Amino acid sequence: MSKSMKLTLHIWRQANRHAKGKFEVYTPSDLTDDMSILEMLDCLNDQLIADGKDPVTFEHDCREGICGTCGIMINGMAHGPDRGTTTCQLYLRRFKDGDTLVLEPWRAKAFPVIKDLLVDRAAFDRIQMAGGYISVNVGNAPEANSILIPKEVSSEAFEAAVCIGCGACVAACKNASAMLFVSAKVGHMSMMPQGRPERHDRVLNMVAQMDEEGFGSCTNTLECSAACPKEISPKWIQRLHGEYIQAATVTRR
Amino acid sequence: MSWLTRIFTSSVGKKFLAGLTGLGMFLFLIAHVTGNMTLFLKSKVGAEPAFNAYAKKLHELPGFAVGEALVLLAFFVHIVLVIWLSITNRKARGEQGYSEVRSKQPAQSQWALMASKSTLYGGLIILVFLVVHLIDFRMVRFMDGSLATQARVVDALKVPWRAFLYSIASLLVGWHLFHGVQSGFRTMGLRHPRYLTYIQKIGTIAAILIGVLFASMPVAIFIGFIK
Ligand code: HEM
Ligand code: FES
Repeated sequence: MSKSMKLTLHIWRQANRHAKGKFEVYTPSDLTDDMSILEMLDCLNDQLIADGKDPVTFEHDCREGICGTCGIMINGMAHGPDRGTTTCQLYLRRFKDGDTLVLEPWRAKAFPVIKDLLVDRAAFDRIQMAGGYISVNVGNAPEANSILIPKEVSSEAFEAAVCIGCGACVAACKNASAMLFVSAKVGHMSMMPQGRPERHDRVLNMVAQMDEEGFGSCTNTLECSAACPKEISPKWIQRLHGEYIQAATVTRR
Repeated sequence: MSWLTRIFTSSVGKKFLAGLTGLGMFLFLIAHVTGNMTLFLKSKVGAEPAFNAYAKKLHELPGFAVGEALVLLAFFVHIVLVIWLSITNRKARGEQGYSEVRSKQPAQSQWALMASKSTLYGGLIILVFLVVHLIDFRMVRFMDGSLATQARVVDALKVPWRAFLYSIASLLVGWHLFHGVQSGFRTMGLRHPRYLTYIQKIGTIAAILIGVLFASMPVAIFIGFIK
């Protein structure tokens, strides 16, 4: 049985990238404890539209914790208070009746606000394009067992490959550093034989693009990993340092 | 791009060098505090204090000047890079800040979090202290070649403001290293939990020891325990 709830929402409203934003307070009716945060916003938006007002813009797609689009700050925490959880997988029963929720967009120079809670994360796409790929010929899928990979290696690589690129690491970092994201992408590919040929160029180019986009750098404060909905370990950042220094000192380019 | 330019201008490279120079200075501090503990050794009346004998031996070591130059170089590289990184980091946060920020790290990590967040401010106070410290005890050797003796150290640290500055700065160095040592080793690429937990424990103990032992000297001199 779902219980009805009353929440006070402070939501960041900003008309566009250049407008000055501010918090607006809403107290939507008809909330129930089995709604997710995104369903709560849907509910609020129905009411805003019915009143002829501008609905709150937020990004979402899969609503099952795998696409990485739904990230927002909830009460000062990326994706809200729970660890290993995306905003779409956070339910109102986590809060108490009568609570106040503060919803803010990710904030970082490299993630400009497009509208309200929606930010532009294209910087991540450009970092990926700089080196977050392997080059293979198109055609039939290669025979799966033609390159043997020890189970421990593929499992460890998978720990980093689960990154959904949501940007919570940047949002939670005091330096708006993207190193957890970049290290996860560099890390899993550098561990696999298929990623080896482009290993050095990849790390040099992705780090160069990361710096170019205006992200900060890591101070081992470890807030990124705590905020990561996939709980990616900071060890990948440590690995990134090794990869980078090695590549920078041995590369012929 | 040359590999050196790349390391000195990229975020990862700068951070690596900041960590390397930080750890280098950490090793220096271990030697420095151990040597200075000779201040606590009692010497026979009329005999030369152990500290003076130690200082003389130390400066006669072959390669002493090279070591000193390396520490100085590490110091400058560290400061220039961390300030440069801090400015970039602040810019990266953007103009509009959050209305509130809360940590998602477990409660037992909150001290480490505080240490991490205060490195720059603590470091800047240490910088001011180091200028005073070098003027106090290094300048004379620069001017006339004479070493700082126990008598000169005691005279200087009997002055209340110095005793205060030296003890506070010592504790701040410890606080800086509480974050710095484990951060530095992480930056060097050490990551396996098998030894990372040891590094964290050893780093914490070393930071506390360095802070407390350094601070013990101005305190002991101020209360007249070391004469
Ligand atoms: C007694 C001399 C010093 C020692 C032994 C020392 C040691 C260290 C170490 C080991 C690190 C870790 C590097 C890393 O993150 O990988 C560090 C970081 C840092 N130091 Fe120092 N440091 C000293 C002086 C200073 C001074 C004078 C400043 C201020 C200008 C400073 C500011 C910083 C900053 C801002 C960081 C980066 C913090 C971080 O990684 O979170 N340090 N230091
Ligand atoms: S909407 Fe896809 S992860 Fe939340």
